[in-house]
Amino acid sequence: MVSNIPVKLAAESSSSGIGAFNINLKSFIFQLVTFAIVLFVLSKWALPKITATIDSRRTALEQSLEQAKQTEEALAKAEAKSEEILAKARTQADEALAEGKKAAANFITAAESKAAERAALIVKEAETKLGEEREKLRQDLRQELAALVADATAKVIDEKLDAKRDMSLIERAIKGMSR
Amino acid sequence: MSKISRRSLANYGVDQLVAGKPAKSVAKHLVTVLAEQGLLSQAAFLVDDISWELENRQALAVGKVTSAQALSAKIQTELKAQIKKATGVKEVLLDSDVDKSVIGGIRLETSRQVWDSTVSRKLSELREVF
Repeated sequence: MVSNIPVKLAAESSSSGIGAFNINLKSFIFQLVTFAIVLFVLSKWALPKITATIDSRRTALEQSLEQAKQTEEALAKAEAKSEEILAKARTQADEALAEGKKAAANFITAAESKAAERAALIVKEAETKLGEEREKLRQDLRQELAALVADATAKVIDEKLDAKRDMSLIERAIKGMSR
Repeated sequence: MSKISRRSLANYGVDQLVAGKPAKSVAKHLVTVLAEQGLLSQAAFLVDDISWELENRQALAVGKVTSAQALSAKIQTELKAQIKKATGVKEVLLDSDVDKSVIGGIRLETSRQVWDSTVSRKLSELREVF
């Protein structure tokens, strides 16, 4: 009788309900119990650790992402700042260059002006000196000419002035003394 | 002993000469004073000072005349008369000198005045004009 029960159950089950799926109920229950035990064990000891690990990983990942985002932002800011600094430096360099060019131009203009003034002064001094030398030469020439004329006159007078004429000169000089 | 100035000595000498004291005596006295004062080196200058003062007081003019030829007595007399007329002095002493370099004319120099009408001076003036 007992040996007919599983057969009967099997016959019943194979014909309707769960038996329609051709499942061994005993094995099924055993598997179910085993699954429950495994589920219990997993949920009791393994799952919390796994969940904690996953949470921890997720947190770390989120933190990493956040840090990466912050880093990216910082990098962007740094790039913007560097661009700004570069632009400012470029502007300053351009201004400095312009100022330098202007200063150089001013310096060159001043130097040219000074050189022109100096040249004019040198020319003027040279002209003055030349004029003075010319005047001195003219004066020397005039004096030499005068000396020559005087010497020639003296010679002529010495030759022409005889005692009689000299006496006449003397008499005239004496008469002219009282005037 | 205080020092006596050359000018004072000259005035003293002229005073004595004008008063009619013999020139030799005055000269002796002056030389003694010069010697005492240690001013014998100034004797020549003192003579010049006395000449200047004599002419200044119209007592005597000592003239030095320079010409290219010796002057005749007549010319010298004429010259003295002209000097008296020009300076107002009573007496004139002339010292004649012949110097060919003057070429012609005469140069008369007294203690206070100079008349130069020599040809050499005229030529010098000509040089200066140029």
